[in-house]
Amino acid sequence: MISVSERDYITKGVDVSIRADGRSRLDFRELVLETGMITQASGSCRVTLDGGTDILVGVKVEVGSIEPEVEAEEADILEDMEQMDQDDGITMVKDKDRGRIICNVECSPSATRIFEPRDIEDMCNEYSQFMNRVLNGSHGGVDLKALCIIPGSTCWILNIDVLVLDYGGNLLDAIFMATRGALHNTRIPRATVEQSDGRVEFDIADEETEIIRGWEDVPLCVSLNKIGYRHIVDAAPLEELCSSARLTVAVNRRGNLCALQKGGHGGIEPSLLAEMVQTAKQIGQTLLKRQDAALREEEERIAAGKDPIGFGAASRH
Amino acid sequence: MADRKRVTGPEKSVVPLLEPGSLSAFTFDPEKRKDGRNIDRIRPVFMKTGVVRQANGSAYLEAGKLKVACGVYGPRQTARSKISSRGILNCDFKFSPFSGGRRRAYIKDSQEKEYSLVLRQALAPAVRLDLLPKSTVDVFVQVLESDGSAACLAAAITCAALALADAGIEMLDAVAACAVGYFDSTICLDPTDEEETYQSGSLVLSYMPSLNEVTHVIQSGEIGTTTTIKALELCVDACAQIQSVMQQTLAATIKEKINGA
Amino acid sequence: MNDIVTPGQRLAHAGDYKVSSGTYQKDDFIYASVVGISQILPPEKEGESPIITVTRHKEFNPIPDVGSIVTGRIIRVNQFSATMTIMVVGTAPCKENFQGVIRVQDVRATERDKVQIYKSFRPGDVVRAEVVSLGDARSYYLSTAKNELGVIFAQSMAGYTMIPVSWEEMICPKTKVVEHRKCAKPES
Repeated sequence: MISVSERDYITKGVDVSIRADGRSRLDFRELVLETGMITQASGSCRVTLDGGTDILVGVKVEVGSIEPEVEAEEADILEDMEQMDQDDGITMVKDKDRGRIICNVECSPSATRIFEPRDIEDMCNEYSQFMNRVLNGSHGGVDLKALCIIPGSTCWILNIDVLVLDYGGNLLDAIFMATRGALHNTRIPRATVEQSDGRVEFDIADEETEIIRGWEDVPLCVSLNKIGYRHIVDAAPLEELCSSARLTVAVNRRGNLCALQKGGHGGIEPSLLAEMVQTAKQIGQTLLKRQDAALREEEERIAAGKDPIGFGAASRH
Repeated sequence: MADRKRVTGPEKSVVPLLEPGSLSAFTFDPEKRKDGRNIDRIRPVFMKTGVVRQANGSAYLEAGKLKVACGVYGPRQTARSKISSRGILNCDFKFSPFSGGRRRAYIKDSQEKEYSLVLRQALAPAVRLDLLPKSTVDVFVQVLESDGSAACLAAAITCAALALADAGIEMLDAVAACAVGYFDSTICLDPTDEEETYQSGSLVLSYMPSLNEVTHVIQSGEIGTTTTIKALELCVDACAQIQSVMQQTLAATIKEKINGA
Repeated sequence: MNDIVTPGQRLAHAGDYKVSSGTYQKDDFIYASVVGISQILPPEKEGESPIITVTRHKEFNPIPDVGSIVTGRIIRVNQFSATMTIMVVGTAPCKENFQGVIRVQDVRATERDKVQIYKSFRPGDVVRAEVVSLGDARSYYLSTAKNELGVIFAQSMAGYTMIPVSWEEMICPKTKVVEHRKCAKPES
């Protein structure tokens, strides 16, 4: 809940491009990015936005069959995600030579008091679906064909698990940033396929690893919140409460849109919508550059063998 | 104790199913649609209100093979736990088990849950929930037959808006929605299931034509900005067409009642 | 201009008419918000603009609002309040019932401290009341603190429909037993 005067204060501030924390309308918060601190995971990344939002993403790879066997009658929650892939059954038919990505967003119960458990569940489901839709497909960036081990039978499955540790607004953008970071950090064991006596066998070498092909094409999300007649990026929790509509745009480094989704309970005029798409595209490009630089730093840090800052990262401000 | 850190491969191995070249490329041309439509044409659409007698308002929509029914109940007293000074709009989206190629379970899968959410987001800006304190309006959409998942979602939104209007719930505008498929740089309105197989992306837009406001938009696939904006314009025009059918349908209901009485 | 209109249809310029039920104003125009027939009613007072309204084409599920007169049946009483289920809002019957509560201080306008719920309402009585607030999570708060509000139908212990004899008593026509109620003044 937000009071009328608070709402008025924020709305009027946004109108003259001054926000409560001193940013202007299109300023992004300071972000801290770290990779590889979960050693048990194939890849991990933590993104902290100055002022609260804290996202941890872990990637686990596993070997699985290309077509998941689903018994529709026994559709339990665990199989939900796999079923989702089945829903795109039409595409699966011609995709016998591709791996899969399964995303799941989980909100730590301690993360926020603002939402009710049911709302959190709805929100997590919305975000999981959004991620699955963005990442599974040619527009998702990740080269799904490279994840295939034996066409028609075996492939790598990337399980991307997102954990929201703290909520400070603008979750979706932070989630995508962390996911991209985690994919950059992920190493898959090398699988070698051998053919003998007409049978195909494969061998997994744990010591030799490969990077995920196409991680740099993974898009980042920019969420614009419409407050009054203006829109802002990277909204803080209070600003999210005043916003009448949200537009999330996924942008990749080629400057193409990979997804577009509106949220919130207000309407947007078509002309403003077009303008917002353009703004989001530009901001997305700068964000991508910023993140690439941060990831390069991380790479150097890992190469130098320095330990990650770990969970003290948020408190160093 | 098994070695948990090692990734173990499956025990069996199989001969490749696919011989080189077996995935022969079938060229699909969106300009030549099977049902003879132009790319900027929606399927002819039929709507009817008052199909569920028990409900406060209901509607049925048919476009080609696509068949969607919707019932609206309420407003009624909200459950104790979530009282608010504004009304609550509950939306429920369900595919019938026999609606598509694969049989669907009775339990809602995550796609249906997502569509339920999209439905609520698309309709809530139009419904005057501030006039319904402490009350809940329930919207149930059932897809009887699906033909293109994006088109299904769009039809569900349109149908639900029609049912809400039929229930006499105060709305700012009748929301109309429509879908497009992207085939590289070609934009194709209202794609069918078969066409969807070949598309590189899709967009569903729901729009309030009289107020000129977009209530929801959802897009997937890698699309350039200019193409997206072109598609948005195309959708806005199509939504206006759909709304005029909605208005005719609603007006026809009243005329029938006046003449019948 | 008794036209059939649909939600979102532009009806008139904002200054020309006064907005009423079934319509709303946005920017410079008045739009319809329900399906129905638009009507223009003469202004309430001299010098005001005429009223524009849209009448719904079919019965609408009414919901109680502050100030509306509701009718319902008492389902439960205790020493602090009487609970009733609201069945009619204004003159429109509800399809689904709402719950309301008449607290002891809202039973009558005078001598509120002397009110005894048991002498005012019994389960099964049909009561007309006014909604005073949207109340708590459970029920609407109702009041019968007006002459024309209170019990409008009640049965005696013997099971006969009673006749009001004063604003706080009713009599059974068969057994002549007098029972206490907060009676509504019969409409003339």
